[in-house]
Amino acid sequence: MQTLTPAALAGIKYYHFADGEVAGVPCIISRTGYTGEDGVELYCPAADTERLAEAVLAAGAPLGLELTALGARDSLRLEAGFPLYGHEITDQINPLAAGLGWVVKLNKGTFIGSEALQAVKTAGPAEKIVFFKTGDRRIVRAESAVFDGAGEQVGRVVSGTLSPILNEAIGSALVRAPAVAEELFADIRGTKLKLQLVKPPFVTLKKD
Amino acid sequence: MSNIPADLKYAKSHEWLKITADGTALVGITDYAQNSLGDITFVQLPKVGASLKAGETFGVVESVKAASDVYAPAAGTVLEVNKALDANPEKVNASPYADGWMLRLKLADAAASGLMSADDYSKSVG
Repeated sequence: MQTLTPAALAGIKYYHFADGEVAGVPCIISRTGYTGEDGVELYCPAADTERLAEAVLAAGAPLGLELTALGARDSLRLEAGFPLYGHEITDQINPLAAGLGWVVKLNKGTFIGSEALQAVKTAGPAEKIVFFKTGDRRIVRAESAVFDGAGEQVGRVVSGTLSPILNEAIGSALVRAPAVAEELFADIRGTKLKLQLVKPPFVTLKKD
Repeated sequence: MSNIPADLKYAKSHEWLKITADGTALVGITDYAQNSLGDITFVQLPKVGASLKAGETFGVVESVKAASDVYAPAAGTVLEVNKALDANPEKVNASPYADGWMLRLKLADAAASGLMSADDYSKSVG
């Protein structure tokens, strides 16, 4: 990327951005992204998108740059433990259950939902999102049931994929809060698989 | 354009069968099938000694996209399974007709009749 722009990319801090030209296209160069990896996102006028994309692909080709899509993004964001709307966050999963209490500021006055969230905070969320690995390559897919040791269903998987870096299945599940402390299992085609709870990230990013 | 070797027999459900010199048959999935599934992450195979009917599910091939059943292209008894796929299921992607084989069968019908030729399979996958 640096070969395409006069902007000093190393000078942009993680989760900061700068204006600059990339391959002659005016861009917002943003050191952000939802992959958990280090890199930049480029925002440019719509009409320049194709030219910019071609320039980036051409510059990266000798380094092995390839286009990827949402399957790759999903394994990366899960390895980083980033929640994704429709999975760890939905209109049925409150932010405290999703582990997003750190961005819910209940002491900044009222907002839509603040009373309800205060009540959840006081009582403790009834359900929680947990992340797991299995030590097995079989993917525990979203919507699989999660059981406790007694075989009672205590939740469901909301994300599941194979981590190419860890070479094992990883995922997340929404489980009843008391069950978080218990042994949890998922069923894959008749095999009971133990879920090993992990505090994400599964894979730690090394940033300069 | 997928690779469809002329010397194999094919099932509509995208498995291939090869009758080897000793009369036993090797079974796997086609290049078309592996390409459609994407990166294969897990292959579940039956036990040696299992008896399979033609068209019966003998295992599961998982990719990031989906878990798909695989079907016996002909009736027979499982003599051997490809254990190398436990640790390296990606062999099915890299080499669907050789290193990525799945089963060795003792065929109930030594001719494995009723399967498609390479030409017919080629037409069926367009």
